[in-house]
Amino acid sequence: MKNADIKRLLYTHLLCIFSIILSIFIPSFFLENFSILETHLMWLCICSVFVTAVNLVLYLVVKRYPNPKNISTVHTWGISYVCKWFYFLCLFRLSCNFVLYGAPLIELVLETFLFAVILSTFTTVPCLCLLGPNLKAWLRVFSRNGVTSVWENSLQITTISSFLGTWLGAFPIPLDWERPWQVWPISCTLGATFGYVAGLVISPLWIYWNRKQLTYKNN
Amino acid sequence: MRLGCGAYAAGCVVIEVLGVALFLRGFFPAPARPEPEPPAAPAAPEPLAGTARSGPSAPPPLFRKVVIMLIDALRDDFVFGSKGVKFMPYTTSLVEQGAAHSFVAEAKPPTVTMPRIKALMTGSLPGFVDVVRNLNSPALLEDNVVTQAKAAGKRIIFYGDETWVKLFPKHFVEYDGTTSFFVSDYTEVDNNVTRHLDKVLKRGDWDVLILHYLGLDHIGHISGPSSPLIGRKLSEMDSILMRIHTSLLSEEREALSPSLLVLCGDHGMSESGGHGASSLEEVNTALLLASSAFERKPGEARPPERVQQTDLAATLAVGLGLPIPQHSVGRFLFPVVQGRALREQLRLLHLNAVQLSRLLQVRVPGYKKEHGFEHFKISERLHGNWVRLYLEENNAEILLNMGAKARKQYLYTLKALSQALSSQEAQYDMYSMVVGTVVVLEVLALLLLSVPQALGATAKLEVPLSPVCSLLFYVMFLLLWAMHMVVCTSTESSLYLCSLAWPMAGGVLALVSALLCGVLSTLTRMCLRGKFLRRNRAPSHWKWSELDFLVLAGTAGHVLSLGASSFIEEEHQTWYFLVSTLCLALSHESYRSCFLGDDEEPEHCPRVAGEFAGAASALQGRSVSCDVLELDRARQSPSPLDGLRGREKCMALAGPWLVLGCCRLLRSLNQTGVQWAHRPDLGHWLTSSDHQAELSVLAALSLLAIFALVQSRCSSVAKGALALGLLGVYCYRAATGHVLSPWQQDNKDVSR
Repeated sequence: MKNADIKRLLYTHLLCIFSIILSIFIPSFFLENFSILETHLMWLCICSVFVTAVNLVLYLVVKRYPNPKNISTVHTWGISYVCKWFYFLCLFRLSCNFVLYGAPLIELVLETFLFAVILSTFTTVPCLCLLGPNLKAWLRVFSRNGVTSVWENSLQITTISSFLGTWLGAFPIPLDWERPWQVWPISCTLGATFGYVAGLVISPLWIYWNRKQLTYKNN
Repeated sequence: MRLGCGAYAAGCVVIEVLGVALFLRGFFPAPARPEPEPPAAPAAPEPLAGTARSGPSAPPPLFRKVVIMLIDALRDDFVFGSKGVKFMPYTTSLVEQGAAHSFVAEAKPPTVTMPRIKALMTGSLPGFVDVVRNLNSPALLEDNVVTQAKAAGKRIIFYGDETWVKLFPKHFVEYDGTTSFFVSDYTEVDNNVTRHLDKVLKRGDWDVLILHYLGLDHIGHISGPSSPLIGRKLSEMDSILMRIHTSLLSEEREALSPSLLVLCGDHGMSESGGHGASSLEEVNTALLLASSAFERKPGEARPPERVQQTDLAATLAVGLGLPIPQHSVGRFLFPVVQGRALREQLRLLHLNAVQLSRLLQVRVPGYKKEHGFEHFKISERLHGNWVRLYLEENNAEILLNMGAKARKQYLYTLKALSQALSSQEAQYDMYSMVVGTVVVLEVLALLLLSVPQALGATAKLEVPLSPVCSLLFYVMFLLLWAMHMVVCTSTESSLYLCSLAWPMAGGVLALVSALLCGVLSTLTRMCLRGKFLRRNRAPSHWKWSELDFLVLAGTAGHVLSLGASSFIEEEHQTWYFLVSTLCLALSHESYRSCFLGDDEEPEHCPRVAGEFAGAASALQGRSVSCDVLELDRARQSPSPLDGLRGREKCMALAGPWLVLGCCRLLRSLNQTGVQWAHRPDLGHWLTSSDHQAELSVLAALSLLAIFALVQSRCSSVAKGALALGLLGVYCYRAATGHVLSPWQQDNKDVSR
């Protein structure tokens, strides 16, 4: 059971990584002058759309996640509506956090917003898909010894590593190295992306390594 | 004997300061003040072998007038490189025609203006201590060219950087200081110097004219050495140089005696436009001596000779016919006297050599063994022989050969003496540095070892006075004393600790050994206790939470980040970032315990609130420890009132966000650092005169807030005093014109 789960986890994560790589290379066929650094916002949008699509397809259409409750279609629609609100709330929260961390309040609003979009794509969308709009479940997953399955464990790892990558990416911004990627929010988005990819790679391996020690309450 | 926690910490701090002071005393070369002044002897007579016939007492001045044009941050390639060819055509042509001698003068770090001016005028090497005095430079008391010139009755005029006026307050018959405080101004600061030029060049009533132009340095600070502004400034300087030089030449035709024009820089400019360190760009400065007395074949292109900056003082003294400054370690630039008679050349070389050897005798105890001093004796003998032959009017060819030999010998001597003196200046006092470091490290070890016991206000720390310890102490002390004796007797250079009276040195050594004993005894006690604990298998309750880890890692990371200069420049950004992270982590903790912990541990939420209040007060640097204590009490007292818990819950949940918002406000209140310092901030907005009303309201509100927050814990008398004090603060600000006062407004209305 567990091994099969881990295998599926690995495949889904590889798909996610593949989508990010695609988002780097595909647009250059259709758009001229496309590069990550110069047309950064464009890449941000494309990348977040790709990752969101892959996540939605994987989690909702394929439905390999064992849904605990049998929910009717009407309910599903209602839940997806709530999910949307949750998503926008998260966007707003993240933007607020960026401003509190020192992002400019009035200038560069679009940049800040798009950065919030991509970060929530990496963190909020998988959470919504997996846990639904349930704040208590979210808090439970992100506290110590709170995870109940392989999926939640990997979710915890990828989310934390994306946030960590973002956090580390913010450090070079004020320094005087005078590089093109030191502009807000490029280094942060790159950090977030690297962190997300690293989390995607690490989490199946880590879970596989520690599969003997990991015991989940419900399983 | 047991010692209280506070006394222990205070003692440690005092000893730490002592250790740092010892280290600094060794690190900064001792200022040359206490050394006995070499006797201000009249100019040494020409050496005459055997007979005591006195020659001319002091050599006559070589130049009638001297103009020193000092351009701040004049790097060598600004004059001799491609930029010089492009922007300073007149100067380049002077060098090519042979009317000027060009040198690359090497400045010793610190490459900051005031120590460099001192080096140029005294010929000695000011140490790093002088940087500290740079902003508040007291008058220069050391023997220097300007003082000598004043004493010789020369009339000196100065225009330029007001550091000179501070250094030489009563030396100039006329001066106009410009300030280097407004770095963004690079035009007016130079025009203020140039505007006097026409008038001064026309009148002939001065002997020395010193001009110090700051504009080039300011441009460097603003936009670096590759900015287009540099070229324009260099052209301006070139035209000024041309004006001075042509005016001097026309004057010479009437007066028949030559004058000297010196163009020099005080320090260079690094690739980023700053200065102060010892990179090649900062150290190399241009030095150009122009006079009609110089005869060099035109077209004889050769790269500028490398000399020391300190050589200029001796050169100026020789040129003006003054005694060379006593502490000067430079040798005068020989090309200046190349056109003179051989006897005069030898005489001047002899004077310089005598001055340097006198300085060597004062500074170096074993000067007789010094290489340069031996050569000095040889060249003096050669010189004496030559003078005797000269007076006997011997064969011209023999005279010429012998003179050339003596001159060569003198030049070599001067080089050796100058090198010996400069290297002697730069020596650190390793012994006191080592002792200071040892003291600091011992105190650090002692503090670290006693941390587990000292956590707690009532902790007592034991001072080891057992017989074993005292025996160890005596042995250590004797060993150190023996080492001290060996060190002091074996070295030749003067060491600070050896020059101290023996009780003082003994005290320091006793301190070192006592500290060592303390460290050792604490260490052994800890080891014993650790063994004891392990045997008893005491279970430890200590568990690392994420917050502990975050606080520790953040502190360590912040400290480590200060190893890089980029991080130091923007240190506040790191601080804000880490504080925001801490607040977010706290809020996550509180949310988790409040929402999840409800069913399991109802006590959890207020605990986090208390924790948070403690953290917040620590962040604000205020001692609100009583608040935390009250919270603690509230937690301990059985009060299951839901309302209170609700309020505390709200506080715990909203607190981190409040602190985060305040931090963000702080960040935009005052932009500091280097990169973003120029951006507008709230502080500027408030202090600008248009927004005085807003500032007044804000100030009044903050004072009221202080009163409201503090008054609940005060007696009524204290309340009154507090209110009066706060009112006084506001009144003071109103009186200085920062904020509006309501009464003033009324007065204005009335007067209208």
